Amino acid sequence: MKLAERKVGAYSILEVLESRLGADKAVAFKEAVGRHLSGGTASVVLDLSQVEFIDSSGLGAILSILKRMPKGRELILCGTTDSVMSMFKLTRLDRIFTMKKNVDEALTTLAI
Amino acid sequence: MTEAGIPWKKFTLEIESRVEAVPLLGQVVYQLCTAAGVSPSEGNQLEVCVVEAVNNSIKHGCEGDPACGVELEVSLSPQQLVFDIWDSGNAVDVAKIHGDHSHALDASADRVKDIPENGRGLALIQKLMDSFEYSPGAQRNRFRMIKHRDPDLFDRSSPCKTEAHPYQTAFSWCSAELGSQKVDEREGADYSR
Repeated sequence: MKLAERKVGAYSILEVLESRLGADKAVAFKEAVGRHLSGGTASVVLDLSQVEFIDSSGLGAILSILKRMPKGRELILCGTTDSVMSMFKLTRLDRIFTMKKNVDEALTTLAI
Repeated sequence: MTEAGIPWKKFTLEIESRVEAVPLLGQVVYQLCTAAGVSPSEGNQLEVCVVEAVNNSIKHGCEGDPACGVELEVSLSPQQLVFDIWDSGNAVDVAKIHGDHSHALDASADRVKDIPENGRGLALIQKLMDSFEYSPGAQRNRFRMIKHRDPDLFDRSSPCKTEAHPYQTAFSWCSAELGSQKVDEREGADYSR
């Protein structure tokens, strides 16, 4: 599972460097993001701009991250491609997450 | 040949029952569908449905046994797309599969902690496909999904419509990408199987 992390001020940006987020990657994804969460105190921007395909397992993995976010820390999703966004809408999970167009918009939201 | 005189095709793909084998299967389905004139967005939805169905076969039918083979048959015609997923694993309760799964898509922001992380696969299939049916068998179980096509939206400039070799582009892509995995193409197979 390939993730790239960078810090911008007090925030952590995690970019998913995978084109697919499905059942074969869901467990590794949760573990990898979990390690980042346990090692920091910042709110997180999850950049999904490289992800072209997601299934229910991938959606479930992202949902599990939201549920595990410590109190006081936010999770914002950004960069969702059309195909990934359509899955969030079909499952109505777009109502659950804070979703922004790109990293800059996500950081602006966190700074408010 | 179909009643309209347009040839249709059936493709068969076999994988081990491992989730790691599913992404390539999904990509083949996407390529086949889009080469047959399906739009990219609908191709993505069909790929999602096949991936969900195959994952279910691996998880619930084969229960993780890699020796339990999973086979996908894709039948393409201008009228409909048929996806048959066969597995030789345990039969699953038909009533559970054929029920209403729409509640699985009923996420509410009021209770994030209570929203289940799993269980949306069949709900997505129910929403995106025109019909689906699970048929347990003595030797193999079949999960069939059907998507009807609007003939007016059928892209007649699609590569699969070339006169000499319909679907050739999609099939060539499959042959190149799948390597050792089995791809079987044949004409004139029977939908009623």
